[in-house]
Amino acid sequence: MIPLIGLIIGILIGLFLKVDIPASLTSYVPVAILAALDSVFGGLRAALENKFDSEIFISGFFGNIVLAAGLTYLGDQLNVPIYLAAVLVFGSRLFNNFAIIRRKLIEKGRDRIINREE
Amino acid sequence: MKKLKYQLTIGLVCIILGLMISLQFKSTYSNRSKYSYKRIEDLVNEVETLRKQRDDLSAKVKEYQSKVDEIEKSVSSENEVANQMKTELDNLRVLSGLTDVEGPGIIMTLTPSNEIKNDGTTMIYSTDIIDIINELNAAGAEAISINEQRYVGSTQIKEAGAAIKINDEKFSPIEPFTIKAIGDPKILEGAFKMPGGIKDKLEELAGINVKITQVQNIKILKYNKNIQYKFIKTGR
Repeated sequence: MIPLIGLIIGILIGLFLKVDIPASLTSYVPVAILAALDSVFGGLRAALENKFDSEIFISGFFGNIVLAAGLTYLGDQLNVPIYLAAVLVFGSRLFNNFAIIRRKLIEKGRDRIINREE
Repeated sequence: MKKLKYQLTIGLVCIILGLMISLQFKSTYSNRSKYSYKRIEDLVNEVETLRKQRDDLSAKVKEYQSKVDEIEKSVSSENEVANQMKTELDNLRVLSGLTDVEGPGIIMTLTPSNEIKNDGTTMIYSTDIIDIINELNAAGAEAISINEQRYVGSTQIKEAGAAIKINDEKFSPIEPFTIKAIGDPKILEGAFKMPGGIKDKLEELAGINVKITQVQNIKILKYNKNIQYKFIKTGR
């Protein structure tokens, strides 16, 4: 619940903030967003598995963003679309994590129903 | 308790994520992104190609010009009449501003102030420049250029939107203007020393800083546009 509220607050702040992303950075932000999204899903999954560690999570979040943006920059300089690697990896991990989250949630729900029946 | 900590951490990170997403959304929907990257890239490439073409062409113009000069020289050295015509032609070219010229004169720099004083930033108006040109001509200037644009008979100096248009080139009125004039440096500078003259008017009323330096040798570039007459016919 709190993550969702956080997301909404962030979106609202972004909408009302009069800050524009400089045109030169517009190609990096989407990759950074993907990296961040991946970290958040990873964090949710870890939380469901009771393996959550906030240091690892925070460092992963910022590390992924910086790495993804850095790779994109490198790709721009070398004229090789390296950002595709980031998109591919983060994208597939996103689906993976989502599948695990879904499974965990369903299992949890089932356990609860079974407990109640007993 | 531990669960709350997880959720707070993830929530905090989600705020940042949301911020990024919405900022990106905004910039995607703003006017700037009406053109896709591809389109912008294409346009940039086009500009580059055209710029290169222009440079090539102007190099070619120079080449042909030197050829023309050579031919003129060779023709005029053979024949007395042709020689006279060539001299006349050269004079006319100098008169109409079609040659680079050098000589003593003054360089004026008009700098609009952008200090926020009583009425904010100041800008240069086309009339200021016209007044200065007028004064220079009255003081016997033989060649004048404004920001390297040669002042010739057909030169326009007028406001075009936010810019000032001189010889069809646009200049920003809040940037400094450099006016070069060839003539007697003392007389030229003296023309602006009169109390209550243009210099005082510009500095006191318009808030534009005017700097005049006497220079022993200025180079003024030629008029670089094509002159074409459509309507006039020569009369006798």
